[in-house]
Amino acid sequence: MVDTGENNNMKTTFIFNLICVFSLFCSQVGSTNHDEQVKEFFKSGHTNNWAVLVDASRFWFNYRHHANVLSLYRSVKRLGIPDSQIILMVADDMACNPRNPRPATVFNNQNQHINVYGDDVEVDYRGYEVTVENFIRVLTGRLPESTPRSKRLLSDERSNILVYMTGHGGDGFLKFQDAEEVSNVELADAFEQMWQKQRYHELFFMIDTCQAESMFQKFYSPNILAVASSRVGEDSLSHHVDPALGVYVIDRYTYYALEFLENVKRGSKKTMAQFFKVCPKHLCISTVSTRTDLFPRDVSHTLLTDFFGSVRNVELITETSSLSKINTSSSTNSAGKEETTCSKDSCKDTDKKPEKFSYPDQIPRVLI
Amino acid sequence: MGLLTNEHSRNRLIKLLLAHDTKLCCLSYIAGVVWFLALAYQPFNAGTYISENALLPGLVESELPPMFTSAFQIKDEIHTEVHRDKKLTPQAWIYKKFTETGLETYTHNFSLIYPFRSVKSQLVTGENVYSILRGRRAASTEALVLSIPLRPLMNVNKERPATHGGIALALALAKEFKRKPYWSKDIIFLFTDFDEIGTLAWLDAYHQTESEYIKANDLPARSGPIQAAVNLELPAEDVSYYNLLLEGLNGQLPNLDLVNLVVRLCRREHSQVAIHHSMEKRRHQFSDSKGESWSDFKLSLSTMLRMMWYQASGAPSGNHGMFHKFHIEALTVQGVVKKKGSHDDIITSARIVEGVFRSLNNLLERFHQSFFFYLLPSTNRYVSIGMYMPAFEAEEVLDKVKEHLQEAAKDDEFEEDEADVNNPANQSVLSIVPIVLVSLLLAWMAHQGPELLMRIMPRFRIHTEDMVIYSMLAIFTAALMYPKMMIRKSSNPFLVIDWRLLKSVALIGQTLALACVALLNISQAFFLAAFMVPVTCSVKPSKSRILRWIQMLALVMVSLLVLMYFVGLASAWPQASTLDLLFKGYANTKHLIFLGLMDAYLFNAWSEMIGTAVIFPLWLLFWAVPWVDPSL
Repeated sequence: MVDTGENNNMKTTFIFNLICVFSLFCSQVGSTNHDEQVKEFFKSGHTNNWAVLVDASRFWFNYRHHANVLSLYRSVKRLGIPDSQIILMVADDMACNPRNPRPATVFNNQNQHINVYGDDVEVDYRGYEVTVENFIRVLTGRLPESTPRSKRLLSDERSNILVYMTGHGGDGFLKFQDAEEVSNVELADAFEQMWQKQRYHELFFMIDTCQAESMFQKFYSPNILAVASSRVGEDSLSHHVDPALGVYVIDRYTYYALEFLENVKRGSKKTMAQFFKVCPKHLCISTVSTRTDLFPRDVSHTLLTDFFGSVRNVELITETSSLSKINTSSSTNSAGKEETTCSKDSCKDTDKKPEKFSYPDQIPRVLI
Repeated sequence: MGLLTNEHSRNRLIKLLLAHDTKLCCLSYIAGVVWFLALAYQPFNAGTYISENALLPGLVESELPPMFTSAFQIKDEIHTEVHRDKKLTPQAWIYKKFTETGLETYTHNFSLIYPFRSVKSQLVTGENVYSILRGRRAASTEALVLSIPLRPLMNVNKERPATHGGIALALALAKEFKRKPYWSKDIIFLFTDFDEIGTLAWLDAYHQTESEYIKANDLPARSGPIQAAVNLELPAEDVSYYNLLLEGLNGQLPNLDLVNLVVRLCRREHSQVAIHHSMEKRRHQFSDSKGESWSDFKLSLSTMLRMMWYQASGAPSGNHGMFHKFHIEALTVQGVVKKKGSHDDIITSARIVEGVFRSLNNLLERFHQSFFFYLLPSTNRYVSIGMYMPAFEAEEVLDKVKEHLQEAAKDDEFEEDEADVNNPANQSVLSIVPIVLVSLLLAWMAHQGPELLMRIMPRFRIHTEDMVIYSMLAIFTAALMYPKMMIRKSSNPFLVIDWRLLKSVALIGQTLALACVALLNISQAFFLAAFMVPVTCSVKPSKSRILRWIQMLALVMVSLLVLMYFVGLASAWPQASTLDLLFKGYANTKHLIFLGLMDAYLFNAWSEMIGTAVIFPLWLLFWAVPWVDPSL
């Protein structure tokens, strides 16, 4: 039983969907070669994108890690992930370091063209807030109640998440600040917990540190794609020094990854397979290593923008589905009280049917 | 473990050792000395490297103006200023100039109480000037020091060269540094009067500590804890190379990272840099020659020995030595002028100092990453404590083996004449107690002698230096005769001196003393051990009068005063005639002993105390050994 108002609503959305899909088909009909790409386009199955960007090291001589993470932040933001869906963790404040000859700026290139510490940087966790505990809590969603929404990773089972980490690492760990480190086992378990709590659909893990490969070796949860700047036993090196600042400004792997990302636009069809080749050994000096066995899709057909951008996909529904109204207030209320606000029909419905699980906090009411 | 627990095999081992003890001792001594000296050979030591990440040496480019004309102008101004009166130092001028630059500048007065009463005016006053450049974006919680000694023109000599280039450089750099936004630490420009004395007075005032003989006024302004200091001795002329002085008070050295930093930045400006004026051939810096040739070894050995020579004295080789007392890493950069060869002008020096300070500015914590105990065979090679300690121990192990053998030999004897009731062990211990006590008493006298003499000195009209050495000689000659009295008195058969026990006690004492000194000042311990150990180990009573005289002569040769005389001779080495050498050597010895004493009074240097209160009584114990009648 569906009341008429809701039926109308359904109809309009359905028609809208049809128009969208039709127009999409129209634009692509001319070139039949793209059919396959269109298929791939729909395969991703995610509806939203998130990014967790972590610079785990402090001190002035680690300026480059700061620049790494801010450059990547700038790129994903340009490609469409909004600040509300980026968790940026930066362990030190280079812009305000008294040693910085260019106060209030951070540059990732000695030409000093782009100030990556621009006007619109939203750092979620800074300084001593960047701890292993906070990092794991953000991933697994076990934050204290008082934590504001901007500091939470509010992802769901249809979210694609980019996790980027940089800092000083060793075989099996990444150092946080100067006091603690996250091990590869802890990280793998955190991702598994995320999977079990349906906090991601696909996850892309990217790490630029010494012996970076060791960090993804212990992963065992599905749908994870990983890339690391160096193999176990290798050092990841910095790219160049800015003699005006007197510090190394960026790491090699991140430098070449950014060079690639700079040419990516929002609708780009560049794939992850291409992205994996951005830094061959003669440029990186270390060997870039990838892990694809947990990832079910073919990386050469996986779009870069599935992780780095925020492209909204439209899905075609072939059968008519009837949506029932979920009355959130009644489900949360105590059972003994009568609901006076609902109509007779709807009250009957909710009494008969078993309660559905819902995300009252996350999905805006308008959609329901 | 079987070796230790099995009585039978243990005895066998001891017997074996006893049979060959002399050979073993000689072997270990020679092996130790050769090993130690061989550490200067390049394949046996290691290349220096910077282990403090934060320093980032040479990454930043110089921000000084390429012509830097102000430095030359200031140099001319100071030239006219100091030639106005050759007796005075230009404190007032420096104060005026720094105030004009806009930096907070202060003067600091101190007075020195002369420890000896031989001169009429015991009070000498001096004046330091210092100026603090506050880091703009930092909280004044840390500071760096650039210190320049002020020397009146008439007092300038080869060892204490003029420093006017340094004054000009400091002033010019202060002007440049003031404009920069990137200082995370305050920079203190310090100009000290009377070299080390002024520096110590200022440091005492800065840290609110007090010295007995140097009275300093309180400072009107301070900054935070001082992280590092560079003492600059630049002449007004262009320099041919930079000489680094490292040795501080009591043989303390600055952290190796600071030395490496300065060396690397000098190299970056293509300047020559040396330790103790020992120049490496240029090809070493650029080609990867292994340095295995004989001439290379000779060069690095002489450099290392020169460093050890200075370190062994325990006296600071420059103003930087006073900073070590406060756990501040510091060294002196000396500009050396030579007529021949290429020259670096003041701009090069300015760039080096700027680079050093920008690297120090990057420091996040005190220097702690690299070595504090090391020897340098060249500017880019080092011998760390882990490498030289085994060699030193091998040289000294002789002592330990010998002392154990003495004990073992004694045990054997006891076993043999166990029936003899007249020779119980406790009696022999009692017999040496008076000797130990008397030598300690004599040592106390030697240590306190100068202090006691100071009270009666004004009555005699003798020069202070002479007074000190006469007093030392008096105590020494008195001490020479003490065994005669002791041994005569103990004619009682129950108090016969057991010379083996005496020697064992003396050897244990010597081993402990040298091992302790080695931890503080390896060079001092090395030279003491190299001279004393072979003689002290081989002394024993002898029936033959000639043998006894030879032993006594050898012991006198390694006594402290004679060793000091050798040092005096060595420092006076090239002289026209032998007689000249002997006289000059004596004069130098006199001066050295006096200086050692002054260092002990003014700076609390330990060398004098180690000599009189530790080494001298030990030597006295050995001295008694040949006097004992061997038939007993």
